[in-house]
Amino acid sequence: MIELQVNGQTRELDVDGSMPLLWVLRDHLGLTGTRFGCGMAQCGACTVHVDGKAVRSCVLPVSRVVDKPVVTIEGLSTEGDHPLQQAWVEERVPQCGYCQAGQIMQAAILIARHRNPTDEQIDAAMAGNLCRCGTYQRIRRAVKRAAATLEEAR
Amino acid sequence: MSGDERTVGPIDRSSRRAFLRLGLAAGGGLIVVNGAWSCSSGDGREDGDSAAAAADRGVEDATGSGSAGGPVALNAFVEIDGEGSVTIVAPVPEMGQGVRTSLPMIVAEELGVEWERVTVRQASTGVGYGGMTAAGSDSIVDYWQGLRRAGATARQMLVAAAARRWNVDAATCSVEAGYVIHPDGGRRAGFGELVAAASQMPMPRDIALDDPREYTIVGRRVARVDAPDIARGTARYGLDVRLPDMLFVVVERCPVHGGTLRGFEADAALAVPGVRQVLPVSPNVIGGDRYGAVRPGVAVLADDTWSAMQGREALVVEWDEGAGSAEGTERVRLRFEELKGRPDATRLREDGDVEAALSAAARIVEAEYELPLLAHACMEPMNFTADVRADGCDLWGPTQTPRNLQEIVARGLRLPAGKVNVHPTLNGGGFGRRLAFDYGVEAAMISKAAGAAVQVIWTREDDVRFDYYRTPSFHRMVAGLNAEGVVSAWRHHILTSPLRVHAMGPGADHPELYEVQGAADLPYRIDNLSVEYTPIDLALQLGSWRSVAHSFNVFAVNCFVDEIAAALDGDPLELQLQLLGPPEEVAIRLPLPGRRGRPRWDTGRLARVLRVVADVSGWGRRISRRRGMGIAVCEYKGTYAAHVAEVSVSGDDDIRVERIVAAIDCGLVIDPDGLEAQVEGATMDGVATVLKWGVTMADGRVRESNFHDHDMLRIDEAPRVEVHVVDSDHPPSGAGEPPYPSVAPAVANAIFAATGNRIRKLPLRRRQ
Repeated sequence: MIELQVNGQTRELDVDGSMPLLWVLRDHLGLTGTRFGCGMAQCGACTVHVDGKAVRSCVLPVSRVVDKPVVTIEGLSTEGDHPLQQAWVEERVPQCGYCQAGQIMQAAILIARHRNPTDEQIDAAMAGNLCRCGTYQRIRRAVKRAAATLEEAR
Repeated sequence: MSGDERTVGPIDRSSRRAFLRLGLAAGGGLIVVNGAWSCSSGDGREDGDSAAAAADRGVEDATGSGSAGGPVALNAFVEIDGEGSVTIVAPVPEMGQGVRTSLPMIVAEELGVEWERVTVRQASTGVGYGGMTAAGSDSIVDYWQGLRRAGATARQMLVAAAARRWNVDAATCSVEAGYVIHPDGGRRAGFGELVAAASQMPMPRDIALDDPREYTIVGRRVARVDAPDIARGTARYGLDVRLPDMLFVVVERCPVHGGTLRGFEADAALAVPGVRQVLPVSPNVIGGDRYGAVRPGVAVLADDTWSAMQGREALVVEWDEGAGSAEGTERVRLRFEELKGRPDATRLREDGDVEAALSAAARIVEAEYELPLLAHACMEPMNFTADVRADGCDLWGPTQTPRNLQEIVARGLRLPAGKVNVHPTLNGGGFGRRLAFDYGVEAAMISKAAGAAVQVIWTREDDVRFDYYRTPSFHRMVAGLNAEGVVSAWRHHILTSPLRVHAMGPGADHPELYEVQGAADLPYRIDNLSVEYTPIDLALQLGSWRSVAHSFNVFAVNCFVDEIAAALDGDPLELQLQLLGPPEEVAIRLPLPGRRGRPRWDTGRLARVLRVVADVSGWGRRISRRRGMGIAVCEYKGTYAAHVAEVSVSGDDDIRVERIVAAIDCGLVIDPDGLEAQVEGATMDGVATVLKWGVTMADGRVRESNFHDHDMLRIDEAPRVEVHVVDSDHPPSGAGEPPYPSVAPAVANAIFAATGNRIRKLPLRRRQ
């Protein structure tokens, strides 16, 4: 039995410790918002937070996250209204949308660190997250919008 | 490839022969491969319905039954509940192009309901939804009139119900934001209270459509329908489908095109915890349709995806690779070298006398361009979920063509098409890859053989190595300039491996049908113009890729115009405008069937997007050293687009695309924000095409496998993109593909302007 802390809840499950966190989330915990893109930490679609850091869940054995808080896109906000989630809708970022949960999870760490990120900071922080549809320009805009919203709330 | 032009080639019986040989050859400790699926007979496929007709038929077929307060259907596209909430059915799968927003906007507009009260539901295969195919940038064009009529018909039935209730003439009533307004202007009745009675009204024969100039939803900036679910992680793609007792499956497939399974050992795989079954997958091409071809393989079925992957790792499989194992990028290049410029090429267009004009020319300009094999690399790898039962079958997943999948699976299962239901999920990208439905047929085969519901997951490696690739192409171009500096001769020889043969088999007629658009149909005023085509063999499955032939021909044409302008020491914009001449409608006749044989251009619209993009970008202004601007233009099915790219070069020829300005004229704009998004995305795709896109082959195998060696454009490489939509009173035309082809040549021409180096071979950052 493995005990996990996911989105503020304790979950117990019987899986091999070598199984990547991604597949535990998707196939055993029903949290399909975290996406499979490459399986080798090249695209960022599977990005979640572990211990407050953005990590690629597709290469992270579940045994490594025992006793560490895991947050997925489903747990980023209680009502789906994190400033990034709002900004993604307002700037109409998604096209196919498949990569966007990972983009948002990556961006959440960025705006927690940088209150007013520049294009260069955004590019540096987000370069590991691929978007095949080419929504990058809107991602930059939405990250800035969300950062501004957070700043106003401070 | 659009549905209306698909025909069926000869039935492929080779898979059956292969199966028999395999049965005889297998032995020893190997498991004999059984045909999990029989090759069906029969030929001919129903042509896709015209959507307008289908929409009307859907209207006719609607029964309008419903319980009090519950949703009541007024036709195939419109349902209204007692509260007045409206559900609009989106007939075409969503893959990022925005059709779940734009198509319902058209219905809502004519219905007369507030957009905010609309919920969108995706159509499963069924009666009345037309071709349902996301292809060829045709969705808006195909469905525009039919969806207007669907909305207007429902509105008229609601008005008729209100008129009867009030005992007034329906013509004196009006509709406003979900209410029918009484002629006295005071009373009104909501759609919700009228819908039950409306559903009993006769189908209107004369349908009055609103004037698009009066539209208030169409043309408005609205939120994208799926954006909130996507941002919350609750949007459902194919990989998110969950059925009770569903098994997760990965398949080891033959690495070489045309190879066969000799046998396999499953013991180690079956010993992996969670693995339930290991099954052979027989190759099959049902009805001769290679877009639904199933590759030979071995399927591992397990309780979760990871266990299935671990099981596959443990398999021991023997392949008979066949002749395909000799195929490779180098051999393709040799074929191009051998066949280029040969006089036996198929002449697609021959205006005037090119030979004579070249002989008489004061100067000759020549260039050769080579574009690579392309994979699609959709972010969501191929996958499908299938539940095959004795009495029918349900299929869920990402597809651009649910009806083709339905038809071929029905044939394979020997079921009536109505017993096979395809439920399209959101597509995590499409780009033409999901016009092939091989992975859906494969999932159905495995579900049938396993006697279980299955989700077949392709890993990224599977996705890159078993794509329906864009053909590599080679272009030999020669132009003659007379003493006055006028282009007097133009010869373009195109070499590709033809899509039509890869889709239908070697017997396909007109192999050049999908290979010459954007080249043979040029509206340039050149007296002596020749376009020739030569097919090459390629032992690899090819398919449709965003804009198909335009993706390579428009590159060659626009780069060559730039080369001619440089040879004349002139401005490429001026040369483009000169070649287009004064505005006119040009009709060209080509020896091709269907609309590809009679392309039409409006050179005025083409010139206009060129002028707009030049104005906005500051074309011709002085820019700093080691920077350059390039321009290119494209027509695609009545949509006109042009790009100006600005690049910088630093250090050791390190190219950075700084800024791209796009102009597009696609007629009436339905969803302006969605249109801009499509242009932005297509522009990024074009930048990736120059810098990165492309796969290579050796020993019959695609060498790349994942994003470490097949990388896509990243955010730190993404230019600023400015989109300018040209006002137009033309009817709407497509926007998914048209803004793609002119990007890459604009970037390549900008690189020349910055560095003096011509980009004649893509991609720039080639794998060595």
